[in-house]
Amino acid sequence: MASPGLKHTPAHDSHTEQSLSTHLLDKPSLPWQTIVWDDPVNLMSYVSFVFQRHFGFSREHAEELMLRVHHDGHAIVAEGSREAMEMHVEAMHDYGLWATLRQVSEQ
Amino acid sequence: MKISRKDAGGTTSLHLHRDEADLIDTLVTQLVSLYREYSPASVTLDPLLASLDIGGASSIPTDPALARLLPNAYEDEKLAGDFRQVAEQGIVNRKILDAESVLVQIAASRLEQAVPSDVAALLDETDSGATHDDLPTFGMDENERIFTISLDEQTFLSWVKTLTSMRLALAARLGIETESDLDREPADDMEANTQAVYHWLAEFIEALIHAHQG
Repeated sequence: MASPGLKHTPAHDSHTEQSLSTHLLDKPSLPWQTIVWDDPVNLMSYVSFVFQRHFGFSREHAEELMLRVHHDGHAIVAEGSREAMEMHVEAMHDYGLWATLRQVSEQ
Repeated sequence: MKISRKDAGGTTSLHLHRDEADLIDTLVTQLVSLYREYSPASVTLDPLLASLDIGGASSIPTDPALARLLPNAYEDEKLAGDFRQVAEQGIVNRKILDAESVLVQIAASRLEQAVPSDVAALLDETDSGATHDDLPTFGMDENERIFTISLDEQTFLSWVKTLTSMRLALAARLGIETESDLDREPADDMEANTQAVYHWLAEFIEALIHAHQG
């Protein structure tokens, strides 16, 4: 797998200055996403195993997502509240996967 | 190294040669030191304080190995720093627990092996009066040097996570940032050895996952 852009610039800086407390007052808020980035170290079989084990995905779905990470450089693996995505990202880091969360940007 | 498929009871059995067990032991011990030196709070003897899991740093570690083991959770630096302060210590603590669980299992299997063979060696020496050098294998056959480690679901996770952490740390030391870096010729013997270990760990993880899937 290949390296994710370490210096990736976020498409939007709108929540840069936003504190957690003001964020919680925002509504209606856009959902957040958990992104897993490609890296040259983690094995494809391991990434697929983690997706099955943590998210409860079927083997087919986990492999499809893993291949998306590998070919596109990243994949969205979950979407929901900020708190839920933070838990997923933390779990991915426990497994040694390279993951970040971000809010869905307004088009 | 041999790995038996997960049995009906959910146990995956690992059979390691002594050299392999020693290698993993050494690497995992170094990994634990890396985490502990970075995070003195995690070795606190007060379990309550440790269980709070707070007090992480506010920016990504400067050591590339730690930076890869503890990446930013947000692309935005400020948000990443805020999250790191509340989450990092917990992640480090769990990584240490996983690594220690591996060390404990190796130590336990070593103990199981060591007692009977050491006693046998001692008896051998007493009987023959021969010196240490004259006893080629202390009467042990090859099988006696194999350590068997049984992995249930929890310890299996500790092993694959810890082996993965070791590869991430080694990759940082080898400067592997893109796939093409994997094909680079080693600069010296030491780097060649590190590369060999890095690839061996990959085979190890692959075999473990394969066995686990049954």
